[in-house]
Amino acid sequence: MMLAAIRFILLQQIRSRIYAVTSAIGALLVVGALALSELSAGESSRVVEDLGLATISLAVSLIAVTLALSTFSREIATREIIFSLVQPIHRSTVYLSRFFAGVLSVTAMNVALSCLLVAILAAVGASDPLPRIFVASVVGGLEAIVLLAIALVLGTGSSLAVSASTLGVLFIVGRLAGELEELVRRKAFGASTWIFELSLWGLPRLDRFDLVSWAGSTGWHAPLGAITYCGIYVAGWLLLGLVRIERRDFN
Amino acid sequence: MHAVSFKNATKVVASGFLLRPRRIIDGVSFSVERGQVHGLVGHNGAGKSTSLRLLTGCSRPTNGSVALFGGDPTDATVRRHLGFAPDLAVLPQNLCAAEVVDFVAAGRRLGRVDSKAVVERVGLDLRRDPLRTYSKGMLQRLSLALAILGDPELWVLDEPMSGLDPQGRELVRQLLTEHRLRGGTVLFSSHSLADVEALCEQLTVLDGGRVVYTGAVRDFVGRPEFEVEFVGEVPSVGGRRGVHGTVVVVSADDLNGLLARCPEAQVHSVFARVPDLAARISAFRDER
Repeated sequence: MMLAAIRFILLQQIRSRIYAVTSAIGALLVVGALALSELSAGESSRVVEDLGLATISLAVSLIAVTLALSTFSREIATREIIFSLVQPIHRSTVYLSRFFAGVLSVTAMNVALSCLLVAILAAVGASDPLPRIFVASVVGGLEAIVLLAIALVLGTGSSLAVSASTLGVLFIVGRLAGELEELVRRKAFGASTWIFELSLWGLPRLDRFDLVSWAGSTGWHAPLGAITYCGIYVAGWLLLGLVRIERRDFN
Repeated sequence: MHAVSFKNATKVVASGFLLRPRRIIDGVSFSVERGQVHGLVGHNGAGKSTSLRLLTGCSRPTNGSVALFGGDPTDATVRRHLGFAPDLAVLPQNLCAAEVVDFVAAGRRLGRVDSKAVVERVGLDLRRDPLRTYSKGMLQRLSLALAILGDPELWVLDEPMSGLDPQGRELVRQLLTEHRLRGGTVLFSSHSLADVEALCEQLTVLDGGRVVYTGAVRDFVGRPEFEVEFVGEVPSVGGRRGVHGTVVVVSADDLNGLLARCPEAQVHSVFARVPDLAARISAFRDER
């Protein structure tokens, strides 16, 4: 049943207008990097790679958040969720199918845009770009999956606007989590340090998926740490979401 | 074992900015026997849809209990015997009918089903267009087709006639009758007592979230001898529109129409009220 539910949600997601528009804009920006690279002197492949990776990271994060928020928040607002909930399937299946369908949608876009970037890099004569792009796209994809898991949980409990703004705050704080950790380590918050230490456990450490810090990594094994963190953190949010959806009333 | 059983079910929801508790249904108790067609009647806001949604497991009663074949409706295995069509058919906009049919069939473990036959059962043609191109009536019909897919034992239909053309309404009546003849159970809500009277043996009347009557339709409606049809503004008395104290309001589907039935002894009271109403009698039928 889980597979049928994933297919059902996946079809809805990849046929949505926002998915098509984000994919098209992402592809245009990746190709557009080629034009910008003409302005650089002898560093064209580097410019294409940096701009392309930044675009891919942004596009997959954006689509992950949009799909997740639109999946639950919109379905609850329009009462479309009732259609899935009245079927003889467990609520956990309803919830997890939306997560896994989101992962597949995001991965499909990530792979397509990364292949486009690799093709362009090969055309401009970059030396063996595949390992670097692979590592970077895996890391970017992991960040998108973390955002997807958080957005799904937020979507089960609040309106679209509240979910989107909370996620926005978490995204910014998550990106700055490295700096926050450094401040906590220096005891910059005095007596309140313990609060920040505790918060660091719950915050999404999106700084671990920062492409700049992964730029020099070329080994296929490089993203293992990020994969482990993503797996544990996402599992925590999914568990929270499952508890929430099991208890929630859909009036 | 009853197909449906409400025992003192109360549902309180938080509403408004300050999340004030609001009682939607209050101590609702009634049951539906297996093989019975049961109507749930009430005005807008009487608690019909909330009651039906408790049966689907989408929400839980705040107090009391609701059971489906003796089990908890939130249990997915219990819902295997349930087909539900909501009052407002909201279906995935980007999918076509066959894809939605496949999903429901998978959920009910029906294996591969003939989507064409499924939609033709409710008078639709199988199209490859996404559901966003469907009209309200077509979505209503498709929603009904999905609810009855695989002929679950219990059909719970929220306002199945609303948004349908006369042929559609007739089709629904026919489907309900066929299901009853097969030994199936139906619980449906309606504003129209005429629909309930034509299809059901039992009914439950809700008003302000409380059960005001549950029992045989025959006993509620009585033996009408006259039908009076009004045109014009019919006043609201205590939240109900009708000529109260004299007649049973049979239907008040739109602002300009009210069909009332009454026994001979009360017909003069109906006429006596007419000068007070901003309405006139458009038809009077002697059904003795």
